[in-house]
Amino acid sequence: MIETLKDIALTGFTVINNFIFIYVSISVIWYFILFFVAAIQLRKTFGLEDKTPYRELLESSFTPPVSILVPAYNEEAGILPSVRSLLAINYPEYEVIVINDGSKDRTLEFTIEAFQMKKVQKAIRKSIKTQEIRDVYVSEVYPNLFLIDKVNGGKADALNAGINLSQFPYVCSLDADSVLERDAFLKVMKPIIDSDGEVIATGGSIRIANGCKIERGEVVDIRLPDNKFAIMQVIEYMRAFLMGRVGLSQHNMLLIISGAFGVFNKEVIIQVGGYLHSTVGEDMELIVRLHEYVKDRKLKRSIIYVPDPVCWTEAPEDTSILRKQRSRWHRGLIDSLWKHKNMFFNPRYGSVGLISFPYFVFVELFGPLVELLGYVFVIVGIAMGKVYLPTAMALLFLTFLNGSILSLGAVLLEEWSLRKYPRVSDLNKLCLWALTETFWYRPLNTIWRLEGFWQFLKGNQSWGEMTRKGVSK
Amino acid sequence: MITAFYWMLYICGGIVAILFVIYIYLLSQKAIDNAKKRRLAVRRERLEPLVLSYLKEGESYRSIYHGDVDDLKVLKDVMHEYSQLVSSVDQQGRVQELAARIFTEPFRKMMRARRYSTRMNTLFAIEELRIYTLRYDVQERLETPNLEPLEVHQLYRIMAVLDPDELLEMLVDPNREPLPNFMYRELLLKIDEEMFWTFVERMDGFPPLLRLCVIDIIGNKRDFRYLDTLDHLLDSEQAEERIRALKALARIGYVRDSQHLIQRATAESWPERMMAVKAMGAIAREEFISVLQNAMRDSSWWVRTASAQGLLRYPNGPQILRTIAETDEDRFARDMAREWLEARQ
Repeated sequence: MIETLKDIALTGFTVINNFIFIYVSISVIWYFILFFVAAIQLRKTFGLEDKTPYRELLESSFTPPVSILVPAYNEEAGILPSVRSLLAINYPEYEVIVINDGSKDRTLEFTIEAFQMKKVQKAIRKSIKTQEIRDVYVSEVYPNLFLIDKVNGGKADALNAGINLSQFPYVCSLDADSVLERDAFLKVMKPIIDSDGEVIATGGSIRIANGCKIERGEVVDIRLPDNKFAIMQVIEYMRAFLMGRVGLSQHNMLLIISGAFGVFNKEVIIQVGGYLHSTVGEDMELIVRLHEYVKDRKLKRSIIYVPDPVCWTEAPEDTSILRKQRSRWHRGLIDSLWKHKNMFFNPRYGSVGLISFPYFVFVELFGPLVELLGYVFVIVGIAMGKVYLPTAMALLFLTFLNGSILSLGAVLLEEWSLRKYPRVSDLNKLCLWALTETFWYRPLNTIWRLEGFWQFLKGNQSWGEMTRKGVSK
Repeated sequence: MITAFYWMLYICGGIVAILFVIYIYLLSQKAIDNAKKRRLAVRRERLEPLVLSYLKEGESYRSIYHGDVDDLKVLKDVMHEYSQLVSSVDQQGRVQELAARIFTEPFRKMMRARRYSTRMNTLFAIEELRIYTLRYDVQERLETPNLEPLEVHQLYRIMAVLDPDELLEMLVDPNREPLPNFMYRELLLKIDEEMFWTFVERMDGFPPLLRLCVIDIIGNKRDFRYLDTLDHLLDSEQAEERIRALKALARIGYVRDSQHLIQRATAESWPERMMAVKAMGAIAREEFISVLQNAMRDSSWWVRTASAQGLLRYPNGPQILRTIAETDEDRFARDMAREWLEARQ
């Protein structure tokens, strides 16, 4: 009897072990494919002059004007440098709309004072329903800077209010605590202009500003942070953007454009009803909905990621905040996928339904679950002694490949194509830290994301408070 | 499972080894790059005075360039800077002449290079330095099948600066792929006044998209010479052409025949009415006031808001809006007038 139970347990162990093995192998292969597609694409534009092609856009009166929306909830630490950096970008015509979403701190007062803002009566077209708007302000110094003061309604609601006030055909969502490169807008708008409007949304890269020297709203020296969590996020963002998005973007399979830096065709956003309030993953949900909208109407429209323009943003250096962010992201991911589950393996939605949706479900959504199981099995296998040691070690190597080695690949890919970090020492540091990923950062992330999973099942939809230091001096 | 273990070991080891090689390669690249930058800086110190003296005194250009790759790169940068710096036509001519002498042969090869970024950078330089000796190469290159759209666009840009007559023929050629709107506009802005006049004269035979862009550019130029053309276009059969013509009139701020404009304010489509109202606001003639007052009661929000905005450009506009806000029987007209009066404060 005991023998049979033991047999069953061992067979079970082997079966699950093999399952994890196959699962991780497939996801590794998938990532390698993305890696190669990205490498070819990125390298193609390496060394391309990046001033001349944009000069004409900058000088042309036909470059479509953009409304930049900056939702701000308790952002007193970072809002001023961020707005200042926006007022100095290179773009022919734009307006900046800061939306104070019922902040409890002095975001509103700071902004009003710094930019000498006065109340105006503005005729607002209520294209999307939002929480009540208390006041609209305009700056006396910068006529293209507006401020909306509204009742708290969440990030999505704030963005919708901004869309209602905006006068221009394209809107850009931007996080309040980030700094844009001067030419970022020209670069992110170029595909839209080049395609004559066929591209309805574009997103740029997000990088970590911690450690960089930022003066008067401009990154003057790109450096690595000292905090180990911040460094890991630098690597993580390289991997997510360069490896993950370039490949998907080429075949119009992108399911995420980061809410921190994305440009959208306003008309289309209004037609799909704006950002959704009832989710914490409003940026991803919108993109999924746009795909659905486009495919349902059989339109020829695309959503594109542009690697070069960078928006520098502050990464949390403290585990408790990072943990909240990650669990929230995972909740947002699950929520966006769940709300559009009809697209899953649905040939009607083309490659989005057949490739990228399943990828997000199997690899991104269930990834942490299988990874946790993997970590447990490695430990159990080692503990069970000699016979299972090879199995456990094989799995460990595979996890190492999936985590550390791919991240190392992403670091090298960045160096091969964009080269944002000028110092040799920074490159060395990045490579070494990337190799440690599997042993501490990734397991932590796995747990945090599983927490998000759990919270989703429990129906928790809160954002969690986030305190910031501000990136700029 | 033992085999799996070995397999994984080999795969991981192999990939780490490959990445290590890439890492070493990138490190040395970084070093080589930095060394190259220093080397180029030295070359530049030698070459810059030579270029300057050629441009000033017409010294022999033979001493400048001997076919060295580094020199070519430095010269490209130096000439690029000068071409942006010098302003007189005479000096521009000298820069371009020197550029043509130095770059014609190397660029002829480089514009057909295998590397996309080399080709594109060369094409940017050809346009910037106006290397006219390469105009036939550019034209020929445009016939190459399966070029990337961005490359095609850049080739067209060069045509606009080097050979606008030929460009015109290419644009009206029905066998060619039509270009996107923004390209047409860009090209039309690049050609000189005289050439643009030729385009306007021949626009009847243009493909529809190009026609629309020509109208846009007329508005952009704000030149009274084209008023007759616009007047004529107000009677076009294409609604979009009428709208663009109205938009151009709004930008120019003048129209010959007021009645012609007033007729358009009763058009069927709201975008056309809106543009007519906008033009009336921009031109601000007495006879438009009553039309604008009527437009305040239009069924479209856009027309109402445009007419309120237009009325505000008249000296007595605020007074008119106040009257509408207080006494008009149409609720929407009252609301719009009030909103704009408040916004004005």
